Amino acid sequence: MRTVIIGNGVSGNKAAETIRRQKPDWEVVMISREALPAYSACALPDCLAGWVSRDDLFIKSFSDYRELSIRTEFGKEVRLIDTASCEVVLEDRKIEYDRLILASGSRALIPPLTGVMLEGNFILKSVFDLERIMAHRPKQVVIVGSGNIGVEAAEALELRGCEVTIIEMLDRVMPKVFDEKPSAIIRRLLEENGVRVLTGEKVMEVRGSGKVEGIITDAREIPCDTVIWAVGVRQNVETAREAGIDIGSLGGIKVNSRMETNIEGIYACGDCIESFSLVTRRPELSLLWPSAKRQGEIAGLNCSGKPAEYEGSFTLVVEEICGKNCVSMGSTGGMQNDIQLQVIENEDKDCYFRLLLDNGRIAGFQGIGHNEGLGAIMALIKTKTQLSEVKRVLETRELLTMVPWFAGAARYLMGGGDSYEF
Amino acid sequence: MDKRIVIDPGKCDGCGICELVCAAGRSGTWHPALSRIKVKKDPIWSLNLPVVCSHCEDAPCGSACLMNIIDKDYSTGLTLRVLSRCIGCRACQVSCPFDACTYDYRSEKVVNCDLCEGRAPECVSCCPTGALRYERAEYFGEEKLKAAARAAIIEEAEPVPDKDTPGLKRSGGVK
Repeated sequence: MRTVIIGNGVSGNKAAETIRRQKPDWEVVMISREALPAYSACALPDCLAGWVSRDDLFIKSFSDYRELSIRTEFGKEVRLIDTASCEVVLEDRKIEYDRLILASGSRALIPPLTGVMLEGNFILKSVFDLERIMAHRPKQVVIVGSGNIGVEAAEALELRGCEVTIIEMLDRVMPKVFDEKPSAIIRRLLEENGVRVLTGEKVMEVRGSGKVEGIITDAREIPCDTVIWAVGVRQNVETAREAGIDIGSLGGIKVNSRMETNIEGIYACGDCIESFSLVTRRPELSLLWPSAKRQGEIAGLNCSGKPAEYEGSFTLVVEEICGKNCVSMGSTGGMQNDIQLQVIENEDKDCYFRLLLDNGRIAGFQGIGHNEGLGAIMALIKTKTQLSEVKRVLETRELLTMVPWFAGAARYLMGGGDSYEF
Repeated sequence: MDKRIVIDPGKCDGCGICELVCAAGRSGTWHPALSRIKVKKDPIWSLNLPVVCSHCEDAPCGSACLMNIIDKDYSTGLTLRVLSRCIGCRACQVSCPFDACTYDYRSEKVVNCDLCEGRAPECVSCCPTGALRYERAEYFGEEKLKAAARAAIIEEAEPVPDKDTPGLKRSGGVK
């Protein structure tokens, strides 16, 4: 049996490891465009800030693949997937497969504007991008987009002594994972640290001759020598589409909860697929590390004949912004627009949190400056527990010794009162 | 099945010796914040709830780790970390349902109980009340806790709880 895995990201690697554990005698081949062993893309901004060295980004070394007896075809592009003869066509050869796992990931988007090809335009998605930014020695930086990567890169470059501006098209920073109020606090944190934040502004053009000299928005012109595009990603699904694999309406490869595509023997996992949300059960593009890892595991298990079902993607974003831990998990007010979510919030001088309820069930949490007891909240969101049920346990202390971790979450669940401080 | 720390909250009097011993033994300072076992205290009902890494089968910390450094040791079942590569992002701490990860603010890394590197845990040998034990157990998990909780309800259904001494009815615990 030969399993071919396209992609060397977290889900591809998790799938490979899972198959190796289940089926020690199967042949596993991994194909990747980048000629590097697996690394953590989440830590790229940390590396940019200088907190993590380049070597520490790597999760595996080439010898780890040899130890797991995984054949690597790195630095090679997949030209074609021939589903009729079960072959993956590379530039120089063909590889036959019995099972195929697509973990081709996603790529950062650069909008088609004037001047985006000038020297000084960057994305931050791979080690290669990181090296290019470092070699460019940026001084005046504009970051377009204020998602995780945008905000983290802003802080990192600020630390390196750059003059940083974030431009966000929507009305607040990190609009996907934080609601207005916490988002305003994050904005204040960034601004206090010297990052200029512009929201509700649209980038029109990058100006310059030969290299980037400035960026023009619908409100102003900002001089800069570097533009980092952090506006989002697009799924790498082109080869899959050509091979006749179904693509969903959101642009990811369509899979069922066992990570199977419409073609038998072909699985898909990671950033390139369209999965569904654990909380709302609706299709979504998860694009988060833990989801990709879990999907890889599910694909690996099903591929090696052990049935496993994916429980759904769960949004968990943990971001240390200017020394404060900013956490968002589950639904946000913006994500479930049509359902009115009830909000319980609490703010004291350095900390803030809000708990979102969907018909009394705990559906989401956003917090700034809080670290402890959040895992219990996450478990409660995942199990869709009624807040009243948890409150009863905490108020009466009935069975609290059985669920001591509720105690850690009490300060959030009881509305932030001091009497419930454990 | 290997040995684990078994907690009996009913016997815990909240002295905090386990925290001190753990902090001193594993991080070299007498600072309870660095302890990997934590005693959560409820001042109103005087409940003391020790919490420590339960080495979950399907560890949420492991799936959240951005650096893939948390993994199960398949021979012992322990959840272990390659600390040298931890970047201190706290994703594991936030995803642990039991709040059993400890952020070491000195090294800026997150640690969990590894049963004193697989030797007999110091906190257990120093526990004066017997609330902590180091024993073999077949299964640690939600199911077992639920079963214990159900058993406790049945046991306590008969006597009406004394309103003046709330919480004192509680004995026994996670076994």
